[in-house]
Amino acid sequence: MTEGLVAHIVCRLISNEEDRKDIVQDIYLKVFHHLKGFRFQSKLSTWVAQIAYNACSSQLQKKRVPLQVLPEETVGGDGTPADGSILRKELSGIVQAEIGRLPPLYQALVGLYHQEELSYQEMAEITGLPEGTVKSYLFRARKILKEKLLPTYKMEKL
Amino acid sequence: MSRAHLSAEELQQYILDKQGCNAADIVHVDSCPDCQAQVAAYTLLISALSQQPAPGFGFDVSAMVLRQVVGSPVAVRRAEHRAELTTDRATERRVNRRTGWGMAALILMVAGVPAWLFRRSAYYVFTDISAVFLYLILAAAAVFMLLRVLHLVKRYHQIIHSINK
Repeated sequence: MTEGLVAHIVCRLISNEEDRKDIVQDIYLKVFHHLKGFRFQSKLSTWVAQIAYNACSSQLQKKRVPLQVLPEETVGGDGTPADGSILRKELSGIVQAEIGRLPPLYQALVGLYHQEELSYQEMAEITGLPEGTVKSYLFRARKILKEKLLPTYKMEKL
Repeated sequence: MSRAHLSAEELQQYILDKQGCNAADIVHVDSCPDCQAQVAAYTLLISALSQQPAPGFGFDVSAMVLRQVVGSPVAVRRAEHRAELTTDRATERRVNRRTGWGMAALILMVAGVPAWLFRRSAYYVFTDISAVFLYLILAAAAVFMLLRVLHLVKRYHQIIHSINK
């Protein structure tokens, strides 16, 4: 039931497959052991996602990987081919690649909002961030992606 | 045009929640080709974002977690061992409790009945007691306490050993 949601969080935040295995195991064992403590103050899926986010966040902290630092060349960089040969059907692949270049937290938020269709409030509960910060990160992530895709879009129109 | 171009946030807001935008923004976008181009780019992006393939794990999560929860043969053996220990301990505690009540009743009968019968002269037992006898009583109590502590330490080590096994 929650596997898709957990996959969104874990796959976006943790890049190493072996680490993912360990973390997923850890997440569901925590869920299993702490289920008695679940007080129905949120949806069960949100609670599980919260555990998943915290587990990933701790793992990244251990490895000193920043959750939300943008690489210097991210904004305004051009990850698309310059010859204008991009077709509309390739757009999805380009977006996927560009999402992969975003900071882990942005990737997770984009996935949770646009694919899992969670509300800002649910995302705030999961990440422990204020709702305004979640919104702001999402706006920024979309802006970065749009900057990357604008040349593609213009060429496609031509 | 009624105002300057919309910011990135306002443009995104326009696409995601047009009802929540103020009227001036909507009027501006309707009449501004630049903002319309931005809106079109964002629309394309948002549509592409929602059509992204969902990430998945390259392993069977249910099987992996079930193995951990239900337990490998080693984990099952450990759980059984723990259960046995728990049962043994519960039985031991029950026996200890019964023995404790029995001892208390015995002490009450052996000491309480004479103390009640000789209660008027009991005061003199402690005031007229000789120093040697008092030291003997204290030494016996100290030895008894020491034996209890040693027993507790031994029991503690047994428990730690069975937990770590």
